[in-house]
Amino acid sequence: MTDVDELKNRALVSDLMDGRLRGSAFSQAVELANSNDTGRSNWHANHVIGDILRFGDSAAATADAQFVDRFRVRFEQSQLTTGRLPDRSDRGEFADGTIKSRLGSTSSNSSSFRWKLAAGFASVAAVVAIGWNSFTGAGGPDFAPAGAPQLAKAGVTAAPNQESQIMIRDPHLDALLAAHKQFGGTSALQMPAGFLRNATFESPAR
Amino acid sequence: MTKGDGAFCGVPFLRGLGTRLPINLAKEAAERLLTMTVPDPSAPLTPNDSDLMLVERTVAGDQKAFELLVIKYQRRIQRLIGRMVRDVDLVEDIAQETFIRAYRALHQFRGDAQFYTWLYRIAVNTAKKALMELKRDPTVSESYLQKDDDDETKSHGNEPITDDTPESVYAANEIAAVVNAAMLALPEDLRQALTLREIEGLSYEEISAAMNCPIGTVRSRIFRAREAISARIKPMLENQAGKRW
Repeated sequence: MTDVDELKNRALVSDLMDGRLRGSAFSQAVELANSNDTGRSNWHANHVIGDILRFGDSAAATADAQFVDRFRVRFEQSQLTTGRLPDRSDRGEFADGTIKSRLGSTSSNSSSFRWKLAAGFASVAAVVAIGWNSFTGAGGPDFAPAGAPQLAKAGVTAAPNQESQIMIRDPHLDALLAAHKQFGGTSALQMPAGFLRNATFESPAR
Repeated sequence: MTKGDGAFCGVPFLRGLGTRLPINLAKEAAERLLTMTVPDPSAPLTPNDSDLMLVERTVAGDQKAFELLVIKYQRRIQRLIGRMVRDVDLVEDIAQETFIRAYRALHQFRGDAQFYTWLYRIAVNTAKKALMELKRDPTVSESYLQKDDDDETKSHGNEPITDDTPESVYAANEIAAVVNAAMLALPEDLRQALTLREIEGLSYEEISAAMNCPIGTVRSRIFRAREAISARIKPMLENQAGKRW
């Protein structure tokens, strides 16, 4: 590499620092700045100058050159253990090595679309399954939705004084309730709560 | 020159310089800026945009781009963590963990804030977690850290918060002195260009307007100024305890 080339490379790194590069020039500068010790040295020296001029801060000058090497090793180890990497295919690197501008790219939460799609399919499947079961009664009485039969029973038992309204399945319990009318309106037996529907409802026998 | 004298009051190389040229130049730049129209969306990138572009490139799969950010911010992050944990042995470990966490969460960085602000938050959380795991309590409150970190010029005395040795601190101070001396030795136009770029944070377009010269000239002047200073400090940086980038 000639001196002129090196000078051009250093100028590119300087431009990279100041955010002057885009597209392939930016890619080239990134490569130059971190491809070897010279590039990293240029990058580091420029930032040291900036920090000292801007903040009077010379701490950057004590930066450890091996820090990046150790970071690289540790990073590789962490990749082996977790297997997590930013999804290259998901982020869209162009063939020329440039990257899509943030403004021109899809939103950064676009990957959640797959989850939304999966959730949508799951919801539709659940509705179809429930609908099918309630339509065919395939699930049996225990599997049927709880709301509909109860509503039907409530409709039938709208008038509490009629004999046909007694929905008690157990004859023995039916007899007991006939003897003790005061328990006839309890909701535990799937009967209407008479005292709520009509405060004056009382059996004439009482 | 006192602290309230102007925009350049915090600049070491201008302290005691006895010239008001940079201040006049800054005023002139400010006047020109006031008369400028609102920048259009295709306005040039700034150094912060440079960070954002490096982030985007990293997310696209280029780890080297992230390593440039590591080189750029490693010392600031180490110093931040050092003030928090006050344990030299832990600082590098937590700093490395911070950068690894940042790398993994990089796709969540939207560029709403500066990259360093985002990285700062990760560093604080990582340090807190490390301290929790070690059953220690942070000895410094976060508000103190924030205040402290905002003022980058503040001296932190001789607290052994990083792995700095007295020799390395001395060498760093020496490098700072050389940078300031090299800055003073620059030709006027180069010094002005670099001052407006590094200290005032102006864009090339703004510097071009302030100095009344083409953008290409601004670019050239800034580069040449950096080259001149860099040539002086590079041997010192490389000779620090045998360190080599």
